[in-house]
Order: sequence, then structure tokens, then C-alpha cells
Amino acid sequence: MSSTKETKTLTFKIKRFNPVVDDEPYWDTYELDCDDGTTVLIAIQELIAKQDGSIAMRYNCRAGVCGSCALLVNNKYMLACETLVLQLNKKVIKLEPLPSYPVIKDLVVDMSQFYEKLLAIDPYLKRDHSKDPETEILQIPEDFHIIEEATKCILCGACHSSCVSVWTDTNYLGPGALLKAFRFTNDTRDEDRRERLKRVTSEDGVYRCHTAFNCVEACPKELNPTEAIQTLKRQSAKQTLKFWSRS
Amino acid sequence: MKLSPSQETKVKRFIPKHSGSSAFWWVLQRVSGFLVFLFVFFHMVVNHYLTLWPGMESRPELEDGIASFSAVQWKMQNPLYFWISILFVVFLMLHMLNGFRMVVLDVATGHSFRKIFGILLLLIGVLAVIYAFTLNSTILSLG
Amino acid sequence: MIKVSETENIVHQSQVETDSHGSKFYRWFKPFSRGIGMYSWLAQRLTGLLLIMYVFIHFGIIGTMLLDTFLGFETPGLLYNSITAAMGSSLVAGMGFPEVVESMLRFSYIIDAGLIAALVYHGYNGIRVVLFDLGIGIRKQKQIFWILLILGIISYILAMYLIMIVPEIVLAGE
Repeated sequence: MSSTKETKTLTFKIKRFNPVVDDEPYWDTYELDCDDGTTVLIAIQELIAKQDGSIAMRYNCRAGVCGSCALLVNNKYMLACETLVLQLNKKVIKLEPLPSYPVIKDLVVDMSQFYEKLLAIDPYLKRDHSKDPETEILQIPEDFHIIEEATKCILCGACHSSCVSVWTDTNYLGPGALLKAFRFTNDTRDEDRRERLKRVTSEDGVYRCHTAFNCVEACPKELNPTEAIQTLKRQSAKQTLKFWSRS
Repeated sequence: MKLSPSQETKVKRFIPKHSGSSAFWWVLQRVSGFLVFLFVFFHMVVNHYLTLWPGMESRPELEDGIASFSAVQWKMQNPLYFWISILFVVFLMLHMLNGFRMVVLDVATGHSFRKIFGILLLLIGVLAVIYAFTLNSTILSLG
Repeated sequence: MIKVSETENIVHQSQVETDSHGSKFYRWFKPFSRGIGMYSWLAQRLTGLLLIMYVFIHFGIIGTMLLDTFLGFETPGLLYNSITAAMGSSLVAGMGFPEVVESMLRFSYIIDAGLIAALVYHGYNGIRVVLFDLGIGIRKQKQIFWILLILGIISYILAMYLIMIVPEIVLAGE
């Protein structure tokens, strides 16, 4: 921390909830001097170190890669490690855990539902390995370009938390899992396209998406799950309704 | 990839129940929506501006106004109007009831409920089309 | 002191609670991290439900054309004609307003104003959704929304002009 930089005192409002002892969530207010290098994550770390050691927060890489520190900062989905507090241009910074996930403690939520949905679409390449070449399986850049954006997903769970369909229908796969489904369905190295499309063809699959674009709004990596889901819908409809060529 | 048995049951719960009809209804909602858009335009023109067309103001059937019973009877004489209005009801019902189904299925997740609800809506749709046909042919028979 | 296994249990119970809390549809109306896409979807849904209600009311009113016959009235369409006449009559008749205002403030026009607003919105936003389904303009969804909203407002004004003003001009000309 350099002391030459300009510092500002900001107020942090953190939503606290410990289900073991509390009945209702409540807000705690803290004041902290921040400079232009302070991210939300550094601010929380300082609060934990100097003011209140009981705040619970999950983080790992501090570089926007692991996706474990997604939070609701001033009602916007953000990665705590990537967000500079002074750039928010707000005196009061409100921090909440991701909505629609069960809270474990304070800013830590239970994301097992999100991961289970991810596993439900088989998030790995499926192919007949007996025919694999001796060398690695190459992909031409044009083929990779189709799925390039979808591979950038860091599984922070913000899209799943923001989705209107997930709020009311917990069985819906959600934008995160469907983005992954798109990534593997359209991977030219994958050989299970038909089964993958069949799996997402469901009332709780792609057709529960109503294009409200909340996931696009939420994604801290600025990906577009809606576009991926729309592509899946078309591919799934094409495959399902082509009953004359069903094998 | 190996999952523990407890993990496996949790994951299996989220594998969506395959339904090919979901794709069908998705396509139909778009197609019927577009058709209803055209039908509504036709409906509006015929039921609001027919009197404004040259030569129409002197028709005795339209004397009491375009929405009067005599005007409806006169319009029903035209088989095009008769059948277009029935087709309108068919596509309107498809679009409307499927749209309502989408809203309700958002909050109701039980599989058996979804099935029964779908059948119920289909029944309402069929009844509405029968109603429209009866209405049209009765008006025609009165004229 | 709480043992680890006990805390696991307590956390599990609370998870069930917050889960059911999260599955209520009032969340649709909760304002956080929402863009124009969400609002347009919500409006699409509400106008859709309104139009469904309207369709059934409309079916009921035109059904009175049949009712006359089944009830055995001498002149068919008597009930229907009286209903449409009542709906088409001015709300402020005989209250000393200018004739133009009187003819504009009809019950049927007020219903039409709301109905056509809902219809135009639902139709134009429907076009937007179909465009996305065809894979067109998903990344330009906000701009498409505003363009279609402007087109919708123009269509709405045009439709209201044709419904409310033009018949008056034609009647005045006769």
C-alpha cells in the first residue's frame, strides 16, 4: 500500500447473516480509508483484519480467474477482486451475497445447486477415445471461434443468481450450465452432440429461458449466455422437429 | 468422471425430463404470434375502418355503425370473413393459452401438474374454437 | 461449543428455508441488477395477461348476439346493440363540455386506448423476441428495444388517430 496516493473515507454496508445464530439478515456499517488501488476484496480483507474479524468472505485468486468472489455491489453483480472502490463513485458501498442462493454466512453462499446443474449437462468432452490419434486432437481456429466466448466462463454463478426463470423454477438448468452445454455441443471434437441436445430439450431446459437478458447484465466477464441459449434452442428445435430423419 | 453416490443422486435431480413437445410449442408460439399479429391488423381494419372505404358509407347494413348487429350479419355473409375469424380464434387460442402456460409453468414445477394443466388448456382452446364456430354460423343463419 | 456435525445440520435447515424464500415470483419485481431486457420481459408478460383477460371479456360481449336468439327475443341483436350503444356513448354527455371533448370521451375509446397500447407493445416486443430466436441482434437488444418502442409509439398515435379522430372528420363531412 503506497501512502502517496489520494485516499478517501468510504462507508461499507455489509449484509450480515449467520443462520446458526441469527433469525434475520441485518446490515453492519464500517468506515474505511481507500485509495485508487483498493478493490472491494482488499477493502473487505482490511475490514476483517482491522475492524471486524467475524465477516465471512470467499476468495481465492484475487485476479478475476477463479470466480469465487462474485458479490452484489451496490445492486450490481461484480467480482470483488476486479472492482475498484473509487471507480464506483459512491460514498456508501453496499455489499450483499449473491441472491437466490442459500446463505452459509455473511457473503458466503452455498452454490452446490449451481455446480450440480453444471454436472447434469456432462461438462467434459465425450468421444470414442479408441480412434484418437497419437498426437493431440487439433481444432482449426474457425471451429474454436464458435465456442471461444463460452470457454471464458469462470463459473462465478452470477448469471444463475440473476436469472428470472431460476428464481421461480429451481429445476431450470440456468444460464451458466446452458452456456457450458453450448460450449460442448458446438465443440467440433465432441461426438455426443445428439444426446446433449436431447438433454437440454425440455421444459426445464433451454425452453424455460425467456430472454430477459439478466444473465448478460450480470456476467462480470461480459459473456452472453442468452445468445448461447438461443443458439441451443434453434439447434434443439431443428433436431427434435426433424422427425423424418430420426435415426 | 467419477461422482460419489450421494453426489450422483443430487446431480440426477437436475437432469431435465426430456420432452420433444417443448420444442414444438416453442416454435408454434413464434409462428402463431406472427400470424396473430397479422390477424389483429386485419380485424382492426375490418371492424373500425370499413365505413371509411369509398362506396361503403351508402350501405344500409352499416347505417347503425360498424359494430352494430346488422353490420356484423352483413360482414358474416362473406365466407372470407367467416373463415378468417375462425382461423384467428384458432391461432389466438394457441398463442394465448400457450403463453399462459409458460407463465404458470414458471412457478409450477410438478410434472403431473404440468401435464394436467396442459390438457386443461387444450380443452379450453378447443371449446373456444367450437364457440367461435357456433357464434359465426348462428349469426349467419339469422341473416 | 457447537460441534462441526451440528453446525452442518443447522446450516442445512436454513438452506431449505432460504431456498423456498427464493422461489417466490415476487422476486420478478425486486430491483437489483436489472436492465431494459428484464423490464421489457416483465411488461410483455403483464400485457399478455391483460390481453388474455380482454379476449375473454370480448368473447362474452359478442356472445350476447347469440343470447338474444336463445332467449327468444323478437329482434335478434337487441341486447348486443344496446350494449355496444352504451359502450359507445359519451361519458360526459350533457355536462356542458364542447362537442369534440364529448365525442372523444367515450367508454369504448378509453378501453381502446388501453387495449391498443397493450396490443402494440406486446406485438412489437414479440417481434423483438422472434428476432432473437432467429439469432438476429441479440447483442444489440437494448437498441432494438428503443427503436421498436419509438415505432410502437408512432403506430399507437396513428391507430388512435384513425379510431378517434378520423370518424369524427368523416361524420362532420357528411
